[in-house]
Amino acid sequence: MDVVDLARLQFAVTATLHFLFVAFTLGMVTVVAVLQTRALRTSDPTERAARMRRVRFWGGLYVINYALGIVSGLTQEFQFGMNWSGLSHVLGNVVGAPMAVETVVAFFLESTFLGLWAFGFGRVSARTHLLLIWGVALTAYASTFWIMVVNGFLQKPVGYAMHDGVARVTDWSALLTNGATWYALLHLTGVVALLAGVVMCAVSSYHLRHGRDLDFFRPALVHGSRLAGAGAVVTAGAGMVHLETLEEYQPEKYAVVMGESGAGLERAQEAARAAYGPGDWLPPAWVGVASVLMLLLGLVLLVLVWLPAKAGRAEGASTGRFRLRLPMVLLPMTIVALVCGWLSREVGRQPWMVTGELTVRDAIGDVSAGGMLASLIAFTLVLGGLSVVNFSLIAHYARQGPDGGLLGDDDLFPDAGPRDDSRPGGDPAPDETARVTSY
Amino acid sequence: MDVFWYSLVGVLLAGYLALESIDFGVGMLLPFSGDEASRARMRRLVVPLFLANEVWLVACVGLLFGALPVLEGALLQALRLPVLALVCAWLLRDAALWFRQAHPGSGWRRVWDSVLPVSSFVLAAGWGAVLGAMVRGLSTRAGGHPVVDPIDLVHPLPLVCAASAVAACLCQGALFAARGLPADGTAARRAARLNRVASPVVLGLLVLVGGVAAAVVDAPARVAAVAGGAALCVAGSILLARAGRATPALVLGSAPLWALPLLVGVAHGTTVLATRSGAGDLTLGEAVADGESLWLLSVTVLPVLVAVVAVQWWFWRVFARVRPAVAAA
Ligand code: HDD
Ligand code: HEM
Ligand code: HEM
Repeated sequence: MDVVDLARLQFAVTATLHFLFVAFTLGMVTVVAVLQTRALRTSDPTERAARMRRVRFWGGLYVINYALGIVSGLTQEFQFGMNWSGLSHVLGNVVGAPMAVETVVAFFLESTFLGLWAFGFGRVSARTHLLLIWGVALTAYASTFWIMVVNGFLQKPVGYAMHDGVARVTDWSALLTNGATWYALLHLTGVVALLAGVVMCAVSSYHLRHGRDLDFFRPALVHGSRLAGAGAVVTAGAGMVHLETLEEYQPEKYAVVMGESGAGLERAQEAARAAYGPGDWLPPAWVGVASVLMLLLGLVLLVLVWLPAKAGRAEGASTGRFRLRLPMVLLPMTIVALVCGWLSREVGRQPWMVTGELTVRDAIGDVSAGGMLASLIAFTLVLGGLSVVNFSLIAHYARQGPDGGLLGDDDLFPDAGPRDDSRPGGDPAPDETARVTSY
Repeated sequence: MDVFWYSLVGVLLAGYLALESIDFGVGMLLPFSGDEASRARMRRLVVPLFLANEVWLVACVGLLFGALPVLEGALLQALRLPVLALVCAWLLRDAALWFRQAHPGSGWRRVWDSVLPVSSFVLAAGWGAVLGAMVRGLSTRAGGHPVVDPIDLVHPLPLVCAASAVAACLCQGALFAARGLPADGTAARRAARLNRVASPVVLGLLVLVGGVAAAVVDAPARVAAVAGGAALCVAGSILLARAGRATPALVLGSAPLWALPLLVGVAHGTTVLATRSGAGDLTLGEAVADGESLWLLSVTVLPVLVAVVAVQWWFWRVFARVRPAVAAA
């Protein structure tokens, strides 16, 4: 492995881990925001308490996950400079600004909102607390948009001109309306809903199989299943449209991804040679396998994710044994499809960093192989270890059920106050001063 | 205009260091805070806050990429190994704060209780050393590229910068703990005593920083002035702490931290990446993004920065309130 392979492997490992957390974050924050909105829409205190219990449970899983979303995002941000300084030299003017907007506009605000929300139960007024979770959701999607503007540019560069080997933006609106960005965003919106829905199904069906908290988890199973179904429809629909457009702006990728062989591939290779000169311009053939796997899993999921809903409505749990086990299979399938999707998009872009403009090899910084290996090992160990801790914690809290949820844990959320779900967010309790002094 | 963006990056870095000085300090003090209950209480002091503090660095690096892309590539590559260590320490520090209480096992807590002080120390000392090395100027690699050699980090200047950063963080952590813990407890008294003992040390270290820096850089008057100004702030902080006014004392007490990026700025002016030999220097004009990119940043980032500062202000008011027992004292 040379230094380029090591840098790519490092990016692949950290980006894939980052995206696993991010996808769940994006899906779940939407669910939590909707749940909290529903809780506030009722004025009946018992009903409101019951609904806030849902916010605390799913919100608790979301918050654990969020921690690793941040931590893995930090490694992403730093490795651009550490490993890919060729990118900032040639394309800094183009990709730097959207990335800056992302970090400042989105994360800076998002993390501040999230902190206020997570620690603000019982501290800020109910209405403000609801606005905060919507603030988190909007800024999370905004950050996704800006990062996908960059990624879309790598796939299909638009709206720029080269001067002395340095790219300059000539037309921001072309960058912001890039099809390679928008089709992917739509596809991702479906993917995150699908993932959040499947996770809801998996957690709910676990408790239903054990006959616990039926009133809490039956509706959750139905909602999760429907959310996943809607997500799958959007995913597949956007994916099909996306596939059509790929042929036009990344014909070499399209040829490999569609599993063409022999003459078809040769034709794509010839066309690329005519455009870029002699060389091998096709991505590695195994990308085709990843793509087909994603497609197949997508079609299977499109059918199967609707099934668990029925077990949530059935009164006799025994009739739903199969349906209650199904989510345990759907969850790994979704995750595999998700990773395969990124592999086909990103490896399918090879050998280009920016299609037709900059190769991966030219984008690498002046780093020794030893230095690259060191960062690969360090990041993989730290992030891998923390991810294991994180997944075990999520599993632990998911199994604990509604009242073991993290957001009910006064210890982790010192300022959350004693649980009193009739006051979601809640105006500070009359006895607040007394409570605060008792620390 | 170019100077504006460069300064804004510096302000974000200074804000990060100033705010996190409290978190680093509390993290380092955790092992000395007595029994399990006091350790849990110490952690609670910073848990709601660190997230909002660390995003200043996220924003700083993001803006660096947007406004000075060439500097971002060159700088992170020159500082590759120390940055790797800092990022790993950062990840572990966050995990320790998030996860410590998430599981009841005592072995589990012991692990995070040792991760937190070590990673906090690495962060405080590491930032001091890296910025100190930048004040002095980096080495030059064979191809003419700037790089920080391990030996650059053990020169007296980075060493005193690291020492003053660590000492200042300890003072800040102690002051914050004394302000937030119940006033009648031993923990709060011990923290207040630590702050009293350590603050004069910080003052002495700052004088050393000023002296050593003035001896090795080309702009001795300016670096001495910055170090002197920071020392005055610390002296003010000591007086305010004595008078029981913890919050303004904290604000002034962060001076040794925010002085570090300022020192880099005044030592090298518009040479944004400076080497001792001069080969491989990068000037602001070469590093800054072109007008179109800066335009996008002006219309998006600037308004949001104002909003963020407002939201963060609110954040501090909600979560960093003085415990009533202390406020009354
Ligand atoms: C499709 C969505 C998506 C994609 C492709 C990426 N991110 Fe991400 N990222 C998010 C969506 C997201 C998020 C959902 O918005 C996160 C997760 C948790 C959070 O705080 O925000 C996040 C967190 C996050 C953070 C931590 C922010 C904080 O402290 O709050 C950073 C620095 C990055 N990301 C940077 C990156 C970089 C450099 C990427 C390029 C490969 C990247 N992300 C890809
Ligand atoms: C979070 C979602 C993402 C995932 C899961 C992902 C996945 C991957 C994978 C698997 C690779 C390895 C490809 C290979 O080695 O052949 C890769 C490479 C890379 N991707 Fe992405 N990617 C994501 C988003 C992005 C974004 C948003 C950008 C740009 C802003 C980006 C830039 C890169 C770079 C610089 C490389 C290394 C060079 C290369 O191999 O092309 N990625 N990514
Ligand atoms: C029938 C279903 C599907 C079709 C037709 C489809 C199609 C596509 C296409 C054309 C791409 C773009 C590749 C590129 O730009 O190079 C893509 C990417 C991707 N797919 Fe799918 N896909 C399907 C199902 C799924 C499923 C079920 C998941 C995950 C749960 C998934 C996750 C992804 C991801 C994460 C990406 C990379 C980001 C992006 O381009 O949006 N896909 N898919």
